[in-house]
Amino acid sequence: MLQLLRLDNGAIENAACCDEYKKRRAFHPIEENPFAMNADRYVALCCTILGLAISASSYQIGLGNIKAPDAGLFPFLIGLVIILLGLMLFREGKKPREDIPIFGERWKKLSFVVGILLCYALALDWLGFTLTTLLFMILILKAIEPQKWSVAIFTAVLSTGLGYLLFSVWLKVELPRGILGL
Amino acid sequence: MDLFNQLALGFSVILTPSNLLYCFIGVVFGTLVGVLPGLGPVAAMSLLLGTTFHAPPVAAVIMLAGIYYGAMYGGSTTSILVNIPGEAASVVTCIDGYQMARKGRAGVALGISAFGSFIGGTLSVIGLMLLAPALARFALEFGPPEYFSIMVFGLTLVSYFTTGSLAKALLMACFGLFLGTVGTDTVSGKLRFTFGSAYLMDGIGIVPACMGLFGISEVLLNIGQTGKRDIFATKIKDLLPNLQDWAASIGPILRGTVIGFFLGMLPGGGAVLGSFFSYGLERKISKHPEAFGTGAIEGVAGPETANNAATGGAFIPLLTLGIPANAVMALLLGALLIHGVQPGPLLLTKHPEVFWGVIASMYIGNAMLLVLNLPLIRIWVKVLSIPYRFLFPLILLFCLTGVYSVANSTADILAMILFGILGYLLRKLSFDMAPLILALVLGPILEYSFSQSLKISEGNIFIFLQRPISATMLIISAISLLLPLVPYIRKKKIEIEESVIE
Repeated sequence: MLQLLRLDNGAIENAACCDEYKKRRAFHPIEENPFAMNADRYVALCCTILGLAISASSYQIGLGNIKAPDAGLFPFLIGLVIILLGLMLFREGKKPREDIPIFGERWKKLSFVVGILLCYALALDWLGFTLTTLLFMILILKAIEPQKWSVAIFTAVLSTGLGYLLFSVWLKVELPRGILGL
Repeated sequence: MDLFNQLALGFSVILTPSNLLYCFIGVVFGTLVGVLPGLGPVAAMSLLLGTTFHAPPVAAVIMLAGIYYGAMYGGSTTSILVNIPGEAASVVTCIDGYQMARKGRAGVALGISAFGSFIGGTLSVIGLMLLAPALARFALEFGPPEYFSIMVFGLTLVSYFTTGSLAKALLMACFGLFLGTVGTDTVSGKLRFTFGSAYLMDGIGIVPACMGLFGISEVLLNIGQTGKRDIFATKIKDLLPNLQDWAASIGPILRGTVIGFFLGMLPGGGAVLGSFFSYGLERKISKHPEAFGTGAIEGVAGPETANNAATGGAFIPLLTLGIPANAVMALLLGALLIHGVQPGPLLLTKHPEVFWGVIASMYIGNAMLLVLNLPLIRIWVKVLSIPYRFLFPLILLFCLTGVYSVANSTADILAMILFGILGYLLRKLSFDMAPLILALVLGPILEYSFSQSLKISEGNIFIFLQRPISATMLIISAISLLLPLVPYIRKKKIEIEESVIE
């Protein structure tokens, strides 16, 4: 059961994570420095700064008065609450938490995927749906967990075809046609 | 008899070939998503959000709803066979379900899950059908202050029920509210936080945001994490539970229905809470509590029924008040708003075909799912063995094309990718996304109610406390915020959660 709940993926969106409970039960030595930083506290600090920024800009947009609230009033109040919560989070962050690496060894794959996604967005109008999708699928299948060329090309063609069928034919979406008119 | 006529209207809406198809696609996709670990119903609905844009509103809701309760059916399959929950509401099913599988009773576990889900789902739709019109009539009395307070209540409770830090959940809610303000203010016409971008002038689209936060970030989280899944290669013979099994399960099923239905209505409650509660209750009142954890059928029947019953209950606040009770409902609200349908008390009068069509579709959907989940279980098991390396490019492609199809805009794709990165970071830093999505959808409405209330009261900020319904909601919200600070309550909450997990 402990094993089960260690999953880091989004399937367990709301279920409790075992680590949290182990931490809460464990004995923590008293912090010597009350302002010691850890990941959670950096986040809290960022939130507080964000709140300040939001409130400041909202003030400039204009708060109006209580009878006739202006566009800036609501975000201003939100900003104040964020500042408060940021400070609360900072106080909560006293206990040092196990530092789960944000990126770990997977950062190369992650950056690659993000990069490819961005290129897809930029190339879509230029190369058209069919070509861009084919290239995208082939690249992804070869780069992340390398497949044989035959597998990659077959899957790419199949998925591009299905995608075209679903979006262009069935849902009648205007898919971009690019310079080659595809 | 008025009810009969309205239900007839609903069935006339659903029993068209295209709506039936949408329902079918929704429940199949939902089951698929429920079976596959790594994609929850929220992610799946986000994926299809772009495509529903081009369908009529009734069809869109029918399909999205189908995904939701379909996922509750499918989630039990992996829990029982692989000891990995397909989605959060099936976590508890792993405990006894997997043990039953190990004892060669996988078929019975799967069977009772399917039947329990069907009973829970159908009964909760009946409850929805009976309760919603009455509640909608009551809600016609609501003015802007009541709406404001109910939304605050919803956001607060969703944050309260989060596992993990309350401060973090509230931060997510506030951040979502902030994101809702980006763009052109409808009242004054002033630009807020657009940084000179023409794209942001229209505000942050719900489709790119959801697809990024749930779809893209999900993929980013799972890439490179290759885990071998040992599927319980068991002969799934008898799917039909015998009389003894039924005798043991009927109590948990009925109790699970009631628990799930009412907890589903509660903001922040939903299917997950329902399943945990049901398990805890069954274990507490059982004559053989020590059997739980070794393969007690009550531990499967109860929670699986509860999570399906919760889906029916969750629709009530949305369809009658226009307030989503959880992230899934928030998405549905977003989808309805995109189509120009305003859920709330006026939904029954202005768009009765939407309301009754959805209700009728849920009856049919549950029936479809019972058929799909019993005989076709072997197919779902095969699906489990598709390697993730083929799955995730398809998911990405779906997201990219789907978001593009909304407005033919590559800027939307870029926005989605940014939200994907944001979602990834937030999850890694243990922030709960549910309050964010709720707040993003509710933000503009919340602000509008707030300003309108101030205008009505001519600057009297105490109007929120002067009106009884509004005051009640706000007081409950305040209590739920202050409660965690009381150490005793906090300890009890943790104890309950821990005891269920163990």
